[in-house]
Amino acid sequence: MKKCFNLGALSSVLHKPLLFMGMLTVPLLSNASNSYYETTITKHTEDFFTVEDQQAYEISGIVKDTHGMPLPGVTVVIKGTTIGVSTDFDGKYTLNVASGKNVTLVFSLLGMETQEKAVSATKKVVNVTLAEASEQLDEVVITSDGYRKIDRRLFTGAATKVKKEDLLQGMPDVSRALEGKVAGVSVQNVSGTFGAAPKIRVRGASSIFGDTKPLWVVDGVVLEDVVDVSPDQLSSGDAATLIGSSVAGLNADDIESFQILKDASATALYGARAMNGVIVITTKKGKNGKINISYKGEQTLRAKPTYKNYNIMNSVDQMSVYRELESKGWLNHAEISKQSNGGVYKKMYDLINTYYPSTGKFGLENTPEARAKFLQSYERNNTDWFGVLFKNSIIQNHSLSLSGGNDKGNFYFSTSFYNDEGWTLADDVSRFTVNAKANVKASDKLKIGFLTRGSIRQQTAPGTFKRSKNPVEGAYDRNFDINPFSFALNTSRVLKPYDDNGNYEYYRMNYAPFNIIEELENNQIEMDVLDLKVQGNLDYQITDDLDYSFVGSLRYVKSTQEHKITEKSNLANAYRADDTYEIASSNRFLFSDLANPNALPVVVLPKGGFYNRKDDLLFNYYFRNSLNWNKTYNDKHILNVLVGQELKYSNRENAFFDGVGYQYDRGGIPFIDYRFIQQQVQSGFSYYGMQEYRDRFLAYFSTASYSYDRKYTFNGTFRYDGSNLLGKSKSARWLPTWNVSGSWNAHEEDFLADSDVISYLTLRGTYGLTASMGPARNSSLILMNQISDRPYDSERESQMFIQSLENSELTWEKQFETNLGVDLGLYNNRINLSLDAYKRNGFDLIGNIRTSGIGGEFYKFANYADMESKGVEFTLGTKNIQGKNFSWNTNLTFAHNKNEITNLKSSPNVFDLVQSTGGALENYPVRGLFSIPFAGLNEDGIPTFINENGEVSTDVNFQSENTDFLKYEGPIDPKVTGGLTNTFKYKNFKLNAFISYQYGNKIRLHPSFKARYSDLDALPNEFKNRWVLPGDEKLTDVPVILSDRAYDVNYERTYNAYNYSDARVADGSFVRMKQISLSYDFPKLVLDNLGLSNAQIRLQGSNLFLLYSDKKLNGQDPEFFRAGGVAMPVAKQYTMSLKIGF
Amino acid sequence: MKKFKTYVWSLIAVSGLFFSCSDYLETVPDNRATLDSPEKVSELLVSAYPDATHMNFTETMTDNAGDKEKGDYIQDRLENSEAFFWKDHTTVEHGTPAFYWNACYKAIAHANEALKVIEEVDNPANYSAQKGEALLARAYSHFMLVNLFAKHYDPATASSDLGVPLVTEPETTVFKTYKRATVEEIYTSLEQDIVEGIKLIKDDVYSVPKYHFTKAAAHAFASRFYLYKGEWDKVIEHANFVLGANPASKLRDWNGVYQSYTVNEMGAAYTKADEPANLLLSSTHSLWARGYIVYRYALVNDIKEELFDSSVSAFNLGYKVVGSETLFHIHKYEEYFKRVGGANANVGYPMLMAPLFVMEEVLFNRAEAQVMKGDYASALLDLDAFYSKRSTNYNPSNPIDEEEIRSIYEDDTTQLTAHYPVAEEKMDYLKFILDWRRRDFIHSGMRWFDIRRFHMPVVHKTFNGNELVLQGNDARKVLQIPSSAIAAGITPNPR
Repeated sequence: MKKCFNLGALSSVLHKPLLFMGMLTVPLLSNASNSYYETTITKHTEDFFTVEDQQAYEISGIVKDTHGMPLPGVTVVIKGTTIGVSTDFDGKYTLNVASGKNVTLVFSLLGMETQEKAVSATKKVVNVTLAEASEQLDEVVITSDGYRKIDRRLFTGAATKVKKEDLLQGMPDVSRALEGKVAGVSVQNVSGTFGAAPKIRVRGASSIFGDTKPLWVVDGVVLEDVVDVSPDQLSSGDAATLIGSSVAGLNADDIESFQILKDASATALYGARAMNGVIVITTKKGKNGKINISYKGEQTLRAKPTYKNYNIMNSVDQMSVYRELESKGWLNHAEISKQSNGGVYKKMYDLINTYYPSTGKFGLENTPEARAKFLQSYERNNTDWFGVLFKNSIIQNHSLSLSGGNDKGNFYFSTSFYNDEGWTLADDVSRFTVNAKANVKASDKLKIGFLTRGSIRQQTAPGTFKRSKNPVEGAYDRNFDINPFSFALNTSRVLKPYDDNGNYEYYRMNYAPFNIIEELENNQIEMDVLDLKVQGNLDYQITDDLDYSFVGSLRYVKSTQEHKITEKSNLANAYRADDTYEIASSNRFLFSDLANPNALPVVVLPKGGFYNRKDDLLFNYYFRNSLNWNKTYNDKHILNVLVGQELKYSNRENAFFDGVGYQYDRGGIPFIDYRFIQQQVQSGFSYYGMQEYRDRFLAYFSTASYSYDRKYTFNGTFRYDGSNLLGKSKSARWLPTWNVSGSWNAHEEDFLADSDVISYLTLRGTYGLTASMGPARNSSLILMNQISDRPYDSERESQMFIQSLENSELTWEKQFETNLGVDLGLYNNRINLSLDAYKRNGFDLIGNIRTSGIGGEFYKFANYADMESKGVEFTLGTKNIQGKNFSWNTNLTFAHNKNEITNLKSSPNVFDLVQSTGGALENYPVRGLFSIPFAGLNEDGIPTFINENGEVSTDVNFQSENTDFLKYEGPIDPKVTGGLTNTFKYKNFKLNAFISYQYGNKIRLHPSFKARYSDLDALPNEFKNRWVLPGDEKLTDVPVILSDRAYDVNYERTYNAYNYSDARVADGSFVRMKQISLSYDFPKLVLDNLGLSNAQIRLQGSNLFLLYSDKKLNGQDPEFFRAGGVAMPVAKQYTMSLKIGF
Repeated sequence: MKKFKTYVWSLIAVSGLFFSCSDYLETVPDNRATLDSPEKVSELLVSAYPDATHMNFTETMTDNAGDKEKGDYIQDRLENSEAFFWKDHTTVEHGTPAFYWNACYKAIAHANEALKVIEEVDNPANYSAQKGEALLARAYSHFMLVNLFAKHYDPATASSDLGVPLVTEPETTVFKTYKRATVEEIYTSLEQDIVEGIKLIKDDVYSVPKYHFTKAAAHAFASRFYLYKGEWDKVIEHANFVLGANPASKLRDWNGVYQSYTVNEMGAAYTKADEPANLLLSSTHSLWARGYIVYRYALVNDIKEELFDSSVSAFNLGYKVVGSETLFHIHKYEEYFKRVGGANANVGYPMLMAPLFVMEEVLFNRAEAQVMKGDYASALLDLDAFYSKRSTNYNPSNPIDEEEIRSIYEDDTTQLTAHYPVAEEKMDYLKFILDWRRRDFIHSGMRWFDIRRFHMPVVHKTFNGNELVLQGNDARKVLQIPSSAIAAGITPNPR
């Protein structure tokens, strides 16, 4: 299906690739490509004369579009030859026909319907009007699975192609652009921060504990991740998530199309890595016949979040809670001065304690009236933390590309700059990308291509540490979380950022003064990512039917995270807080020398802050060799055979270094107290570390396709993969996968050929085995080293331990998949439907299995789990109105996926199952959300539950393995996902409205309830309905604020149990007005005056509002987890973009 | 045909490109360790000791525990109440029998892995010290398991009493089928390991000897092993090795330096390697270092008075009971909080450096063996050596004598029974030794094993006055096999 034609004109200049490469630079430097282009054409027309037959006659004419505007750059070729020219800027062409015979001219231009005109020597002027090509859903003739381009008819799998213009626009990270656009691909924006990958599932999860991310393939090569971010980690807000998406290094404007490979047949060539689906990105390349310069500029404004969309009390209500706390014996003077954190009450007591000798007065008189007055002044603050911490800054995204080509070669060069000054005070991103691509036909047989792509990213994020899990109390911990979004939601609106004189106002955190604005300035993560890739392709035609092709690529990614914590930060000051005996003895940031048990803990960071650094490195190369044999007999039998092999090599290195005592304001000299290191060592930690990971992969593949009479197609694939990751044992290393599939093009049958109703109808069927690498690496014994966990230096020694026993049965995770599909076009393709139904049986999945313990490993990762999933998905496209000036198209995607773990020998405890990320349990979905059954408030307003013993109690054992009493809420992944696009076109205006939706998942509400609160807490409005008086338990489910007297340490569990109860679950279904855009294409007339070939202006609003979501969320975004760290929700944004082509 | 040849040659050429890289996949995927020198085998054996302790449930099951009900800081935890009421445990967390079971078998797996490597090396002689340690470590874990999850050794029934699974080689499959060996099979196997291991052990291979089976620790273990078997000469022989000429000098100096310790210092000193009385320590994951103070079912005031108030015991023992009301305890343990994620993280593992063998036990073992042999004079010497390090008003000219012991138990008619006959005249001596053991080993769970050895009943009083009794030969004295092991086909204990 190669469509080769020769623009004879350029050929002799370009017969050497080197020359071509030289030409690349000309338009760049001179920026005068128009004239360059014209002269080239002219010159060659002359060359051509001298070579060809003297009997020639000349044909000329003008090519126009349907609006009557002349079309430049239209290729005019004599059919059946390689002879042709292009139209000039007035749409004119002149062509010499060599022989005196009648010929047919072919007029073609990208985006226009190709037209053929017969001409003869008598008809010397041929004017043509080209119509715009109508966008058809299934117009794709050639399809690419990343390994080869094949005739669509030979392709029998379930795959969806999405063109660039159909993706969500204005997404700097293209992985988000797929949301709702492809049936069966769900995109959950668990964090909107740049670089953080969204949670993407192709046909739902296919692994329980392993990876569920799809495989990304860019220009035929798998895109490796720099760090492996697990599904649960995606929503953790940890800094590692910022480099979780390698796709974030791609410039969205370089992308030509996405191809989503969904079923086993489509992904067969990816064999043992394809279980989670494959997303193939093809980037743009230069088009034959036209030199293009194109610029696109985007300006995006993000709206600040507002408290209207979040469920947080205003300061008056909040103060009433504090007053209740005070009346219940909390927040008293003695209590507060002992606590590590304090808000408005702490402030008040400090003033009362402050004596000014000059005036002889205290900061605040200790009288009920003075205290009340003080509190009242704060009661009315109603601070808008969003307003304080967020900015209305502009994101700019500029990209520029140059491209062109002819039959001897093509080139594409682009560069882009993305600059986000930050939505909050603490973040900003800039990204620079460059992309150069050239393909040359060195001879009739040899084609060579090169591609270089690079990106540089610099990003700032609020300083954060990794969060950790505390299963005893059932909560997550993150030290020093200063995420502005979380801060705005977690901090009392009673407090304020500035005092009455406009200076920073401080509260107490970690026994040290804290002001969020100051802290964000003094505690930041700065990140740099350099991503460079070089790729070469070579195709050699050995015989007419046999091609050899080679792909080789090399990629290097270096990412550095510098966590800069200055001496002024609260974090550093927390290490110095030893004001009183009580503080010194309870501040865990001080050092207690275990060898000296009586000593009071001491400060070991007397000066300076921290300079903590993380480096992640990826070095990756890849080779592929393949032979492709294509043969067509009698135009009836099409045969295609592909064999080949590939090799992948990846080395990853993660290093960290925690620098202590760095003095940012003293020229960066570290001031080190040796006891700080001692403290680290005593606790069994190191101040630096490095880990290496080595990934080696080899595969052999073959596939054969046969198609008869364009009606029946059969396809078989076999692949053999090997990897070092499972460990040293040879038995686990290799895995064969295979697939058979077929399709029937019913519309080619005689009985449908003349149908007015059915334009096309194809039935497809697939059955095959795919696989994926599970998370276990222990086909042989894994030994690791550590320093023994003992308190004293003198008693510590190097210790080796078994991380995993040998598992001689270890293998890959596998899945059998059956897929049945229909592609249907009705009424001249005005209605297009593509429907697929599938069933997947996953087996040998890695489960976290509990053993008898006798072998020495109580929990093992082993291939002992099975799951089943099935689903239906369809895309329905309709052309509702098709007029000359007005058209209306609708596109609906829908996917339903249901999965169930059919076998899992695990025994999760209560905490594992009730968390917001869900847990895995046999006979339930891969991630199911479970709740502790709430049994109402007792007569004291304290929540009760039906606990693990079936009793109504205030106590629930989070570590109980009896989980039968838990209430199953639903899956955390939506059962149904999809989108609805409506496109209206009127003349040059285009209005696009896109709605995305999901249905059927459950989410856990923020864990706001505690057995004791502080004067810093910001509480949700539910607290207004809290239990106050006996009898209220009949009216409300919101628990009482415990009094100091009633408080018992066991109630910590009770209140956490309430957070994890069915009273705190909401439905995750939503319908979102995701995007509305209006674009205007300048008419040709205007363009000509400006000397442009196209220009478009576009206005767009994204993430506009929710059309539906559970009322329990009080307007809060159901997609976002309040994880803190570096996680931010997806902002509501307005974009204006301008696209110009020369 | 020519075309066909082209095809074939192309295919061969292309596929030949990488067939040569057969060792390409041999690359190790991560920074895992290799086991290729005696030093590294020694490092592996650091993990051959259970990283859990039985104290939590054994101590709570004994007559040292009462019910505090409520109080400041008092914590009600499931594993604590299940132990107190001698129930089968339903969780696998810290301080449960299942947690200890897993830790022991994990330790055994490390020992077996070491033994396997030693078996395969070319120069096994270089590894003999490591082999000795591995054998003893493996024996120790099995010994503790059999003494918790099976009946106490009794030569009359040992060949039919179900013990625990005996594991002597590494597991390489996901689910291996195991069977419970008989108590006799276990004891026979352990005796072989102990006897062979003691010969091989070399103290100088250890960098931190107190955390390893030194010669002394190995002999201490042997003295306990033979005490349980009732082979008195061997108890004495092994104890002699440990105790040497002047046993008192090696005991914990309760009436000396311990008297001067602050609470914090005592907690630190008690579990430190440089305390001469500690023979073997193990780093364990345990909440017990807070639990023995704050758990609801622990040492209560009544029991504290009975054991430690001088007016009751009349021996002026110098134990320093600290705390008040519901928190009375002897500050033996200090928690080492191993933080997760950094030196200042909020979350971490509570740990306890648990003494597995102490000098006092060896001394008591020898005294008991001497009593059983009728050598009361030697027994009294040992008891007096102990007394000399406990009494605050010890007078060497007035050593403990038989008369004193007999007078204490004049009215005590309880009978001690064991798997060997206990003559009436030995009874007072044994009671005396057991009482002193009970005091000295308070909070450590050692009492539980004495209760099993002598079929002693246990009475637990709840706060509201109920009395629960664990009879001398109650089936609940044998802990139930963990539920996950039962699920894997291990025969449960009768209930």
